[in-house]
Amino acid sequence: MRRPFFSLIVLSVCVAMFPWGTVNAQDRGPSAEKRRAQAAASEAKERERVADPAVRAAKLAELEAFLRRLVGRFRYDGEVKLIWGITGTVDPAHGCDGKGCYVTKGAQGVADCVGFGNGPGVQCLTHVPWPRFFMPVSMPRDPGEIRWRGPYLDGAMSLFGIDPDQPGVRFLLVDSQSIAFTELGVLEGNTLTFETECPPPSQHMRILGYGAGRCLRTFRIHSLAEGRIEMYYDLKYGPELHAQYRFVLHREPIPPPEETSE
Amino acid sequence: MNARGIKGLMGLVAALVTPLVISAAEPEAPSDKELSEILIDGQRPEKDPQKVIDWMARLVGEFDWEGYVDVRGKGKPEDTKPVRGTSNCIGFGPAPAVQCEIKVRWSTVKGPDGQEILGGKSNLNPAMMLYGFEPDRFGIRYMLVDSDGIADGAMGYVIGNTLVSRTPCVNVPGQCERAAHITADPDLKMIRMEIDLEVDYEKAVHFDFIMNRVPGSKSVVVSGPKIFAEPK
Repeated sequence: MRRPFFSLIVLSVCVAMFPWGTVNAQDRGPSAEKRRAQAAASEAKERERVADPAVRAAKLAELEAFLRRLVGRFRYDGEVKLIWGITGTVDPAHGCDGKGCYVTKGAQGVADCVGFGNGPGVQCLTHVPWPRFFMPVSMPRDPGEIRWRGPYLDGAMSLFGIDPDQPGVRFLLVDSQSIAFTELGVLEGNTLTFETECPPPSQHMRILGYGAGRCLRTFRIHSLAEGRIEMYYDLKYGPELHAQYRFVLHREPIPPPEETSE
Repeated sequence: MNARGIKGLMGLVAALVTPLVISAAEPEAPSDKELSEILIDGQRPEKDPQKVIDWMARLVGEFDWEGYVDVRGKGKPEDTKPVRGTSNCIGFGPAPAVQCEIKVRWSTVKGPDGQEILGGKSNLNPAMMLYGFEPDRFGIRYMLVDSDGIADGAMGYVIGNTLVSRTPCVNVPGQCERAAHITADPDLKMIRMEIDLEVDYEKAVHFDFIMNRVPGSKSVVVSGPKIFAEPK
């Protein structure tokens, strides 16, 4: 019974020891310089398009409408996924899908988002009790807890506002560990996407074959007119998914204020 | 392979993989090159995370605002409007991070032809501000969203008792930069927030806000479970 898992571990070691520089050269995609040039060209093109006052006004109206949909009380329901090992083995019993091995846990919580002022500014308080992750298999040494790599939402605050110059949505989330995550979001259809490069992997991670590609953090909010909202967070090093959450936000009625009895 | 060999190999795996899985992205120290423009009086940005966090905690509390807005930034009395208002800042999380609700107003000033001018009308009645720790740069990220829903964010560095930031302005035509200094002394009595909008390399507007701590106002730190009902 232990044998398939033993093979997995052996493979993990082999994978870890393998000289990854060559293998992952293709995974890294275009060079940083080329990526920057592509991004700059794309931004310039978009800016030119948005310079048209009519296009700009329409875009700002879209952004405002989107932000106003975020106002309300929501019940969060979803799951959080975290990598614990890297291997080419497919082993569903241990969460290994051929690219990596993951622990996945369900998470539920609530959020209150309020609008303020004359504009579409939104401020949210989120409380999703955050799952803890441990190595899913027994090891001879206690491996300890695996640290989540993203915002902890068990008592997080976030603020959304418009950046009319881009135009886009500026977002600052400060998680329950007091760590700030900030991004500029671009709206396409009903999806607001925030994408940021994160710090490169440590030398230790690279030696072991983890995180050979660039680190990219993507946060997406998909808001449908009928009130359902979906939130996605991915942390990837190149093609490797390291951390992820997926939540469906169900709108909840806000109870009227309690009447005070005489 | 015997059981002992397997155990040894697994130990090796644990030693190799565990620190890797647990390790988070390592913080990068800010380089002097990046920060050269904000070094003041020879002081360097604080690199001790605890001191940065201690500074942030000074922002928590209730405050009465006074001070002025100089709508042309030239220091002429006729361009200066007094401000009045309040703010309530709560702390959350272990640092704590800080979230502020602001209600600050001043009398509206218009241009010679009745047009709106930069800083001529309060956009802080109400406004929200959020501050959090940036571990990769040992700084503080903050964002203000004004009453029109316009977001203005910055990355600030603590130098002495002052959070210093400089960013491009938002929603201002021309070449505009916003330089902000927020000074919070350890005695917790007041906070001073000075902001200059520099358009085409000239100071165009100067905000000088003094936030006096409301007597008896304490640092209130809340955490998630205390402010929310648990989900059913």
